[in-house]
This record gives sequence, C-alpha cells and structure tokens, in this order.
Amino acid sequence: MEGIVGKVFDEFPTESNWDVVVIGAGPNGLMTAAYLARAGAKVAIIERRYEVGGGLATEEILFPGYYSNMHAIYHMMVDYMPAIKDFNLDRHALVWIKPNLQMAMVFGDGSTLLLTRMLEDTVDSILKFSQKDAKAFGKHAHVWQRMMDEIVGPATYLPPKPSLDLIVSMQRTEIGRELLELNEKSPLQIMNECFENWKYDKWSYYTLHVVSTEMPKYQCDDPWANESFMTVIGFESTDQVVAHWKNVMKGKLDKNFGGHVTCESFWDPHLVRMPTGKVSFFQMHAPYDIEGGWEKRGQELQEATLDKWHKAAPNMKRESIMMLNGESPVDIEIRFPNMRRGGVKHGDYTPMQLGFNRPNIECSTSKTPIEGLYLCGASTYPGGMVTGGPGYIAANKVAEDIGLKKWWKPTRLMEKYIKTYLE
Amino acid sequence: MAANEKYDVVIVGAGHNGTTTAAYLAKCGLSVCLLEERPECGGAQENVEPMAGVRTAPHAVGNYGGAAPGWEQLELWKYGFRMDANPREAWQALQPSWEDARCFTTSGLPGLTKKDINGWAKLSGFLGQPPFTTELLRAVYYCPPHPPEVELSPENIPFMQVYKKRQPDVWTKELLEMTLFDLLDEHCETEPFKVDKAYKALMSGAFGHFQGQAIPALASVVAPAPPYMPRPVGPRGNMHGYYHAILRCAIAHGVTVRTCCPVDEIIVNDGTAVGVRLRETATCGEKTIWAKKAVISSTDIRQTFLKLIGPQHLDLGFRQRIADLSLKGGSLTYYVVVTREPLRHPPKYEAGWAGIGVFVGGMGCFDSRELYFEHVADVLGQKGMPTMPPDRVLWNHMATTIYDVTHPQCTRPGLWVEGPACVMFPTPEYQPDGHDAQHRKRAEILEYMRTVVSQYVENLNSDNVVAEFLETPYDQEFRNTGMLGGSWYGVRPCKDEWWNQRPLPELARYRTPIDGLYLGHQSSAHPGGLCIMAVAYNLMHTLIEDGIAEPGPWWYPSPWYIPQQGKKSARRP
Repeated sequence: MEGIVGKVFDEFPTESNWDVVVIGAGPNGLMTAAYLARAGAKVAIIERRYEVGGGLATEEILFPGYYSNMHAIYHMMVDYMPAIKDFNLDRHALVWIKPNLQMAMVFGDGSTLLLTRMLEDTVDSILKFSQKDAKAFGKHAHVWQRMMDEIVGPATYLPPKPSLDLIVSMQRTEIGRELLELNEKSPLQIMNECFENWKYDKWSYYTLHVVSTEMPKYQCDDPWANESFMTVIGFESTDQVVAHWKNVMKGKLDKNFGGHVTCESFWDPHLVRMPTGKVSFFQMHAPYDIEGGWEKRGQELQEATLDKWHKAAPNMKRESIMMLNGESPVDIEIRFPNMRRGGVKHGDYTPMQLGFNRPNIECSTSKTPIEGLYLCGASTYPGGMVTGGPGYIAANKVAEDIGLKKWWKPTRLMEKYIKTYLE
Repeated sequence: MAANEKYDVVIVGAGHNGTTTAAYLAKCGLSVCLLEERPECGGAQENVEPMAGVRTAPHAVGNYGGAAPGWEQLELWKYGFRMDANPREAWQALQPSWEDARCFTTSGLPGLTKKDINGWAKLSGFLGQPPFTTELLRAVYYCPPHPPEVELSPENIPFMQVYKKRQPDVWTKELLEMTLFDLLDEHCETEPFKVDKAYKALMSGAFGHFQGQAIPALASVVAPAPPYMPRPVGPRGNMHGYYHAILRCAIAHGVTVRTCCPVDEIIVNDGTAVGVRLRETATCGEKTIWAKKAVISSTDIRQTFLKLIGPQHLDLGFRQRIADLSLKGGSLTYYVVVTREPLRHPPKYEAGWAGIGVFVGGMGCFDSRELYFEHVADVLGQKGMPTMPPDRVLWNHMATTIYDVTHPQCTRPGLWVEGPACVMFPTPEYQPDGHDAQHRKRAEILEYMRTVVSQYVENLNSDNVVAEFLETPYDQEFRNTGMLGGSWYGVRPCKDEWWNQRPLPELARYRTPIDGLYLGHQSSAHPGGLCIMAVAYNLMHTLIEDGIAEPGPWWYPSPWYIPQQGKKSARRP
C-alpha cells in the first residue's frame, strides 16, 4: 500500500546530531540542558516517561479529576538557586508560595507545636512548652540562617571539595567554625552514629493521596495549625519517632508510625478539576522491602493511616474520603525507574555518599573517567531535594570543557563564599 | 516583574487545537502566548497514570490525522514524532478476515465478502489509480468552509470534486443527500459490516445516519484504521507522544506556554479583542496579557461567548444562539481494567485474530441497523441513563496492547491493562435526574460497563481484576472543559453543525463578532475534534486573509479554498 500514507510516516530519520545529549528530563537534566542551550549548544534532552519533570511530577493520579504532587512538595533552596534569577523564572510564570506556617505538629492531647518562617511565631509556639527552649531556638535560628546564607546555600551550587580541605577552609571564619561544631552534634550526625550499621537504602516513602470533602481540621488547641503547609501527626515523643525509624530500617511497619500531611489543593486550587473535593496526602518513611510484601501490607497500611488521620482530624471520616490512592516505595520505582528501590534522592545519604564522596571521589564534580560523559543527576553532589545543584554544577563543568562562553554569573552569596573559603 | 506583557497572539487553551495553532503562528514568526488552565497541556491528547506503571489515554486513542498537512508543514518528525509501520496489518486490512475482527455481532463474527471489502476500498480511495485517500480526507477536513456568499453545489464541495476527478462512478448528485447506510447499501452487502462502519463514525463524532453525512462519516472511519494508518492507532508514546511533538514544535519556535493559568476574561476594547485577564489564582505574576494582533479562543464555544466575553460586547440574540447549540452526541463512558492475566475472547470471537495471539479488543453488537438506531435513540433521545440492556448495547473496546508496541502501556510487573472500553452515554446536560446524575450513579455505571465487557471477555472476574478506572461524561466535562458538556467532539456533529454551518454560519470562517478574536476549538470550528491538526490549518487561511500571519514557503493552502478578503470579523459585511 505504498504511497497512501505518504512519506511522513514512512521515513523517519534514524539518527540525529547534537552538541550535548542529556539523558533524563528531571529537574537537574532540564537545568543542565537549559544553561547549555542558552550558551549556544545544540542540546537534546531525552525522557523515557510520557512527561518531563521527573520528581517534580504533578499528575492526575486520583483519576478522574484530581491532580497530586507525586514527589517533591516543597523546595528547600529556592532563595539560593541561581537559575531563578538566571532564567527569570518568575517571568515564566513560576510563583513561589512561602507559607509562614511551614509545619505544625499535632499531639494526641491537642497541643500543637508550630514552625514558621517568621521566627517570632515559632518562638511564641515553643513558649507554651518551655521558656528556655524558646530562647535557645531564637538564638540558634539566627545562627542557622547565617550558615545557610554564607555556607550551605552557596556550596550547594559549587563543586564539592574533599572533606579535609573543606574542614580546613571552614576554619577561616567564625560561622564556619560554628558550622563544623554543629555538624558534630547535628541530629543527622547523631542518627548516623546511632545507626551506623544500618543500610540507609532501606527507606523510602509510603504516601496515601486522598480526595476528601473538606480539608482536614485537626483537633488541637491552636486553630492556625489547620493552615499549616505540613502537619505532623501520629508521633507523641521522640521515642516514638526513633522506634518508627528503627522499624523502617528493619523492613517493618507496625501500629507505631507517624508522618506528615499536606492539603495540596489548599495551596494550589488548580489541582482540583471537579466541583467538589480537596486533595491531600499523608506521607511517612517506609521500607522498600517490607515484611509481608507491599501488595498485602499496602491495603492494611491504608486502613491504619486513615484511622490515624481520622483520630487527629475528626472530619476525615471514611465517608468523607471520596477517592484514595496509596503509593508504596515499589510504586515509586515503577513510576520512576531511576528512583531505584524507591530511593527518591537517587541514593543513600550516608557520609560515604555525601559531599565530595557523592557518588564517589572521581565523579562528584560531575566529570567521570569516561571523557565526554558527565553526571548531573541527584546521585551526584549535592544530591536530591530539587535544589538543581547537580544540574547547575554539571552545566558549568560542561561549558568549561567544551568551550562555551558562560552567559551566567554566580550569585552574590556564591561569590562571597568563593572569596571567603575557596580562594 | 513587568506590569505589561505583550504578545502578537494570545491563545486560550493548550489542547490539541490551541497548541497546533500556536506552533503554526510561531513558525510564521509571531510571538505567541499559550495559556492552559490545567496543570498539564494536552487537552484531549493527554495520558494519565492513575496507578504506578499503568498508563491510559482518557480521551483520544486513535490517530485520525494522517492526512494532515501539519506533519510536513510543522515538520513534526524533527520534534520527536515517530510512528511504527506494520506491513502485515496493511495488507491484512484489505482481506475479509481482517474486517471480521472489528465487526462483532452477538453470535460471533459475520462472514464478510469480497463485495464488502472492495466496495469499501473503492469509496475510501484505496483502489484509485493512484490511491486518493489522502486527497479525499484533506477535502473533508482540511479546507476552510466556503464563504457564505458562495452557494454550495456538487461542483464546489471539496470531496465532491475529488470523487468526480478520481472515482467518477461514485460521484452522483445524490451523494450530498445520502446517509452512510444509503451509500453502503449501494456498494457493500453484509449488514454487520455496514453497522460497524456507521458505529465507528458515530464513535468518531460523525453521525452517518443523518442525511448528507455519508462522506464525512466515511472519512472518520477511514482515517484512523489500516491501511491508511500503519497501525489502528499508534504514534510512539501514544496520542500523548503525538501531542508532545506538536508542543515541542511550538516551544522550539518560541511559544510561551503557561499552565495553571485560567483565563477569566477576554478583554474587548472598542469592539476589538486586545488581551486576556487571568484568574486571581493563576501561577503568573501578570494578571493581564495583551495581544497586539489577535486573541484565539481554543476553549469551548459556550465558555468563549457566555463567560469570557462580557455580555455588553455581544448581541443578546447571538448569545442565545450560542446557549442553544446542541451538545448531544459523542459522550462516551470510559472503562479501563487492570488484570493479573491478559483478557481472553471467548472462542466465537477469536477467529478474526488467529495468529496474532493478543487480545485486541473490538467493537460490537453490530447485528443489524435496528440495533444501531435503538442505541442512537437511547442515548440521544433525552432519556437519562441508557436503558438498553448491556447485551444489546453497541460498544467499542480499544485494546491497549495494539496502541504502541514500542511504548507499552503497562510497565507494572505481572499486570495487564486493557481498555478503554467505551459505550456512548447521554451528555450530562440531558439527564432528567439532574446534571450530576452520572456522578451519583457511578457504581451502577461501573457494573453496566463490566457487564458489557464480560460478554466478549471470558476472564473479567474478581480473581483476575486488580483495578478498574471509570470516567463518565460528567467527569470529562469537569476535568477537561474542552469536552463541552461531556461530549468528546464539542457540539453535535451533524449536518446543522458541519462545515459552513459549524458552529453557526457566521462563525464558520473562524471569525467572531469581535475584531481580532478568532475561534480555534473543536466545539467552535470545522471540522471539529479528533486531534487532526485541521482546525489550526483551516484557521491559518483566515489569519492570512486578515494579515495576521505571513507564513514562509513551507505553507500551502487547501486547493479547494475560496478566499474572502477584507472581512476581518463576523460582524463586518
């Protein structure tokens, strides 16, 4: 039947030529591609899924009519990300929502603890528990803010240095020394020490996406908690948190679990297409290899989660839940095959896989032993969490290596950091 | 953040038509802003993954657009469009055994004859020397309606010109008055074969049983199937892959695309559309976007004239005529099933596909045209829920396994996805039990769909079924506002709303009573839906006439097109 259909369908080109080919159109791949393309390179970006965006996916998984955020729900580094300014992302309709009330913890007795962007509001909330803690928090928060601005933020977008070099250069300033000191005592460090023998790739997330008739209203003494970006439910004490974590590490989940809840459509009404309904999710740490297998345990956890949610927020009754969809670590891997074993950050955050060691000493500055092959994914320094760091660092490296003129400059904070610690 | 954002053209709605129009105009060198209210672009050409690893297309599944000039004018292969040929199906398509498979009756597969196949092949242009199928499809879809001052005649209607030139023995003056059944009675002989064609046309939004609709209905059956399409459907990455090629083309030519940007108002200044005002929630700093040359509404016609344009700018009678447009028809209830084992046909339906070895779906209950008319009366006769029992209703099951072998729909280990199975339902607007009746009766509808599918599938049971997805016309209407009234094809696809009548005679050339405002949506423009890049191509003719677009040498107009200079709007004489 030659000739009927026409040459358009008969003769597709079997190859094409580019200066740069980027594998994976997640946030980092897009970031690298965007910088290089604007620098004049001919760039192809290849994606295996049917949509670009990787972990920034917002999809209609509560079908029909409701969209959810599949992975990333918040960005930690927006104030530091050079791309925001370099690409004028606000001119491309990017609007950040920066809720003052970032996180609320609701306890069984109705008490609440709030964490806010405006420091004073957090201090007010801590005051209900302890004057001493409130004072200490206020003092430390200012120091942490400086550490973010002067070190952690800018360092996210610069190639890593070997740990020892870094420690030496950190000694140059007082805030650097304080950061080192803090590092020695940070919760992460404590966890690392406690759980030294456990393998971190055992954890991922279990997420229950729901559509309910109303947004969750928590039984708590501070109604503001209902408007929190995230609300932590299910935990009463640090012991419980640690016990849950220990369970996860052992591939178990029992009745003792807690997690965070966000009512997404409260912040983004576009997620809801139907006349009624609110989209929320509950998320908690969960093992990829779970005792009993996810097919069986998923159903059971869904029930347990709904019970727990209902207890914390009495209006989340079964009859108020219009739709639900539980996503296990196995589901994460099926949707996004590069999140191996459900690993949303593309690899464990262990000391041996962070900083200069991420993914290893040879490749953490995005260059690899294979000439012309670069890494720009979340398994490379500085890692996941949609910082755009790996993509930005790789773009710089590739541009330097292939001789593209960089049209962008480091941010003011990065320049200061370079001057203080790297020169 | 600048207070004013200005583009040559602002397009409301990033579905198939809005995006294709954006790509065309940007290729002409215009600055274009494309606005979408949903979090994703794509409109009816979307994909969803409601369960990890299970992807389905909630609307468009078949590629009807093979004849589109857009493939070469927009050079979509440069932007990743790929489609896989399947030569076996191409030759099989002209064998009686192939047609068998798509033509289920309650008792099994009817035997088709050479007369059926040859008659059909002749009407479709496959037997022409050379074959003229593309020319025929272009005549039906890819030509703007003739200007109102041109009196339509058998001599100037494009498809009539094609038959006269290429297959003179099909051409008669009566062709313009025939129904599809009349035409098939003349050229084919087996009743289920005729019902199959009429039903496929109905499913595709062309009502072949209406007088004069024989050829438009025929076109919508020829377009998506072998041998015209290498596979029954199957752009790589499915219909969404096809859409993405258009979107990438638009972006590559500089179109600014914005999602989550619902438009609340088309700003009209002194009778001219000058921009749009976005809803307060829009993810965009500027709430007003100005258009220097044109605003194109690629959203549904009712919303365009009854919601987005202030009533002070339009004649009350005109608004009333828009409100009165019939939405009946084309409303499909959609059912997808995820199973542990592949679905199996019972033996009586197996024969047509022996040797291929996969469940490929089908369409059925094609015993007689009486059943067809009973079904049509049931869903278009304002009776609310369908009253036909599941064993008499006409159905369609597009089997996922044949969409695209290179891009499997199910990547979830050990599971299979099949569907959608579709049955036509009345649009929500015509539900006597209230607009949300289908929403309240979801459980009942799910059971109905299950029963329909069970008749030609052996293993649709609780042991095998892992998940089911149901989308009623009510859901479609809300989740995709372009599906006006839950209808897949916009306004009623009959002679009153076809070609120079669609959607209203004065709007048929895509102009509106507002200067600078043009229509580019399936519900508001010839030839309607199906994602075939036709509305954009046809609209281009008008935009060129009005001096808005000046395409390069890549552009060619329709050979049957009759220009109409100096018009500018539907209001001007």
